[in-house]
Amino acid sequence: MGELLRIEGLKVNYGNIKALHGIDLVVEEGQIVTLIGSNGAGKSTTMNAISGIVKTAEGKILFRGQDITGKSSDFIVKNGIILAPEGRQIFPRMTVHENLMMGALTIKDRAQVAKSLEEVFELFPILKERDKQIAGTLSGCEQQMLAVGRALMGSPKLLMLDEPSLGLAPLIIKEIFSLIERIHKMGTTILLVEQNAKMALSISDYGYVLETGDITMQGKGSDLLNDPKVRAAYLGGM
Amino acid sequence: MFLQQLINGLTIGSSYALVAVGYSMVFGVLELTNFAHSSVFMLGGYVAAVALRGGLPLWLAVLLSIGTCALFGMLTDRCALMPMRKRGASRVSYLIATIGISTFLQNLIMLVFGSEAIPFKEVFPRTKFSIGNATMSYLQVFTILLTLVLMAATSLLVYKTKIGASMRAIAQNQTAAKLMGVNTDLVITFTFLLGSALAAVAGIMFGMYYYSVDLQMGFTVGMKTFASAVLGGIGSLPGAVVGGFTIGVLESMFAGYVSSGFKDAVGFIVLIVVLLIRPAGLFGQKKISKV
Ligand SMILES: Nc1ncnc2c1ncn2[C@@H]1O[C@H](COP(=O)(O)OP(=O)(O)OP(=O)(O)O)[C@@H](O)[C@H]1O
Ligand SMILES: [Mg+2]
Repeated sequence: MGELLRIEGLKVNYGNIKALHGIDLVVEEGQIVTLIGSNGAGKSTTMNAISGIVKTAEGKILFRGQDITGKSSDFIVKNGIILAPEGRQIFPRMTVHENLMMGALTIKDRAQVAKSLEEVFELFPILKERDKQIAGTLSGCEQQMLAVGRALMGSPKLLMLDEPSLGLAPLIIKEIFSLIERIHKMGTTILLVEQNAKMALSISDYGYVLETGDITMQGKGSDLLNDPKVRAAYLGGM
Repeated sequence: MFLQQLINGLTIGSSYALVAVGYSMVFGVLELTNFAHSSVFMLGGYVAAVALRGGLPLWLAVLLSIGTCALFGMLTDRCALMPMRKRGASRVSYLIATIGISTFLQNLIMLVFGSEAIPFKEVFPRTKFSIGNATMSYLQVFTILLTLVLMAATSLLVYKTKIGASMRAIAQNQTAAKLMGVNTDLVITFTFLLGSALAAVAGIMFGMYYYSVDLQMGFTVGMKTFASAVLGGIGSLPGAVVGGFTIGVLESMFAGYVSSGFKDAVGFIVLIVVLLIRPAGLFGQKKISKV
């Protein structure tokens, strides 16, 4: 299994605000890698920079050895890096079906689109039921599933999930996590950002801790779970 | 008289509908009122009128007019608005830019074609037939039918193709559209191109119907078509079409029953009333979003 994503010395600024101070991060093919950190640490910024939504000030982003730094977001999506962004960001006036088809926009092969759709419906049966419903009228949980399903429609080589459990009830969060594991078992590499550090680390191969723009710790998911500092800061001292 | 005014109103409403669609589409993808749009409509009328006067066949004059306007619309975005997007310009600066482009184009037209009205060569049979107590010319039939066909084609494009889906996606959530792999700059430029091409057709129809083009047509029609787009619910495609025909018919009724001198005020009145009573317009989408 090779290296899928490599980030070297990534810096991102918003005007005068330095959001990332030069972070290094690697995602191996077939892994689930989690990025944890408190609010405003720069987790979303990292993902948005990888997706080409925000500009990188310095540093390099390599995907399968190819330099994708500064490339446009459509180029990055076509290369197989797909982000399900924080806060769902579905298309509220399109139907569920149209939203899913937007996810497959860059896929030319119709058979592949049909196959992805079947997989998404298998993972999220509720979306099949709600196929014709206007997406803006879905419940928060259904919208979240739609956001993840839509990202899967693009057959990602690297799926990035930015806080998929945000605002969901505990029982549903469990379901989301088991779905993430299923997606992973189907062969997708995942980069995950989560507030829910305990659950995230327990399904992860590797984890990074981001603190106000710097990576301060990293290690195997299980090691981080047992690290006293991580436990104190992110796991509620459990 | 009612039927006659209805027929006339639908004819002129055709031009309004085609222009209004351009306003609405650009507003959809950029939340920007493109003030240069009415000048593009005028450009379309002028290019065709001058080409016909120069002896070109109708098809070539039409092609030239559509091509010129499409190119101008494309350049508006590529040379002025896209660089502004890259720098994250504010809403107001976009507005000012389009006003500037509009002024530039009006003066360019005056410089190149002169300030006199230019007659529009009669290229279409004005033969009339009667329906009840009203008459209708074949030009009118053709104008209305062509508009309906163009609107159907535009709807197919917007609702059934990938580029149309991309346009709608950008209108609803630009960042999410990018994350789906939409090349937003390309789609936005295409939207300008399409709207401008439709405006060219409207300019030609307008010239044919009134036998001439002049420097006033941009302003008056611009105002009325903007009112049409707002009436229909700016950003809505069917809204723009319904709005355009409605303003055309209202104006024609007003001219027939009240006074033809003030018919140009109808658009203004409608605009004000809509903004006061129902700013979202007839087909306006209330934004559905859940946190
Ligand atoms: N568009 C923006 N303009 C200016 N500052 C921004 C912007 N987006 C993020 N920031 C700032 O950059 C820093 C990192 O933000 P980011 O959204 O990446 O954090 P995060 O780790 O995802 O936080 P959360 O857990 O709340 O989602 C914060 O200080 C934030 O205020
Ligand atoms: Mg975030």
